[in-house]
Amino acid sequence: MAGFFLFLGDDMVEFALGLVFSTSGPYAALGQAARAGAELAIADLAAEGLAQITPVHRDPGGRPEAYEAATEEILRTGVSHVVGAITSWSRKDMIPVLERHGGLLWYPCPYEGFESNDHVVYMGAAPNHHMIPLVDRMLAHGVRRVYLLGSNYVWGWETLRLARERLGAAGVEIVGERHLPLGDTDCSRALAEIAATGADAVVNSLIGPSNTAFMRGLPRKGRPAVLSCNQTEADLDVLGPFAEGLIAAGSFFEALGSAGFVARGGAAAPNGRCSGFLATTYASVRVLAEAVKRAGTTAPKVVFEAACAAPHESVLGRLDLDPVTRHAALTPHIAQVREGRFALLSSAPGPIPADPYLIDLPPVPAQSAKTPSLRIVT
Amino acid sequence: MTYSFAGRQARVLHPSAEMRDRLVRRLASLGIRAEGRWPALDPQDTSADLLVIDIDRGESGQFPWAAGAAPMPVVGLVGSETPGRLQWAIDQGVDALLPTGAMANLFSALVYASARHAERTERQRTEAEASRRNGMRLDLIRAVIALMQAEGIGDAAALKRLRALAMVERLPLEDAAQRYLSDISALRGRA
Repeated sequence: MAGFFLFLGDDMVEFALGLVFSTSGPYAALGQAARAGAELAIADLAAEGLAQITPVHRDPGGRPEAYEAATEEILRTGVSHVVGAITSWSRKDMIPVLERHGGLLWYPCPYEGFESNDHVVYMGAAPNHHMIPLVDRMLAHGVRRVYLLGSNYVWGWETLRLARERLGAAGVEIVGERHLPLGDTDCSRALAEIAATGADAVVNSLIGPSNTAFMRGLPRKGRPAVLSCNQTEADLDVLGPFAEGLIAAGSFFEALGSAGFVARGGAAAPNGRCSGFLATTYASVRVLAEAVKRAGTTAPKVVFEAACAAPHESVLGRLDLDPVTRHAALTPHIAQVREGRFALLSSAPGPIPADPYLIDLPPVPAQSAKTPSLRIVT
Repeated sequence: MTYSFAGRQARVLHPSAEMRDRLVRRLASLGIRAEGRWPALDPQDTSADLLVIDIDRGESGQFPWAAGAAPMPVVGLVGSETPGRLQWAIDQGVDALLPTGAMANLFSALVYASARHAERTERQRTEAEASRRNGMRLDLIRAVIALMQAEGIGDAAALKRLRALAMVERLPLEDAAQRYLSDISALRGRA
């Protein structure tokens, strides 16, 4: 399938690109950020004379059952590339359609790993980029009692399973675990359990309104450390002061971007912030356009090979794609919200190949030698 | 639990060189070192940790073990769904099926095959153990009789004494019976 492809002179390619992002519904803030990144990349590519991309938008409204039809509508018209899906739930619903039509999804979000589909390019962080470094940081800081909280679908299940296994292997007590339905804002039981168990940290894999309700429900003073692999600048305005102190793992934070890109990204985003979702989607569209140009076609298999053939200079830094795992090598970063902005706490020295099946897990680090926290038992 | 196959050795038995290469690459992405084979496995392939075979073209004489006795988890690639081929796969003890068009799900097939193989191995071990203990029933009877005579007690009390011995020595009852018989035999020898 190579519909809608034209070479415009020596330097410019023209093709249509599906953008399937929920810009309404329970996780609209993330979809809006990602779509803004795609639109900014499309505008930049046109302005630079590199590509003329016609976006074909669909908004599934955060309804899982709508993704399949939205993707089908786009691919049936001969478009072969789609950038989109925020949740793994939606990505998994899109895959059978992509397989039927021979399409390729450029997926720009962090996800839980354990997937390597021939119709997907995984541009976001894999677990060895997010949860593993995040857990290892917790262990290095002597965490003892951890509560796990996530949205009730595969992202929450798998990220928290990984945290539970790795923290448990280091002897950390998991004092509770709860999964909330997507969109549920009743966090009272989780909040009560966290208070009752005296957790010193919460691993938070909630998304959307559930996350907002939880972060707003936590007492601002004396709250346990809250750590997340999915929170970015896209979440900050809705959380306001309740985000203060939140620690997040990710492959991009505003502090890492060039001033120019962060300013333009912020101007393009509805919440005025240049988030990891925006930057990764921006990078995805650019890598795709460069690969289409190099390949001289939009045929997905050839484009993917071209994308893997050479590294890309991107807003995420140097970006290599692995032709076997189909994942981007990314630099893991950990940042903390301070006065409404993510301040970097640590970064890996450089890009790390994604390890979606965790075949090369680093050994569980020894706990710090801090005195164990003791509880008064009455 | 997180299954990790890193460092494992696999063999891929498939007539297509292209398919063998694809599988070897896929397996490598899971940290598995794999080698392709056709038309048959080598005798030393019994030491491999995992095996992927082609159900469409597989034959019974390709394996250095009896049908159903593969010493490792076996994933069968299925294309044709003819009952005869599927029966052959069942007879070979294939632990998990992977449609040829679903290579992206190789990890799932390996996890499933590993779990089924572990069950298969455990079942064989318990069956072999039950068979071994069944073969020692006569010694159990002899030990009960010897205890009844030596201690002047009834059969239930003698069996109870043997159970206590088995518990203390952490042995199956039949092994405890053999231990008792060999101990009294040694005592008699010394007397």
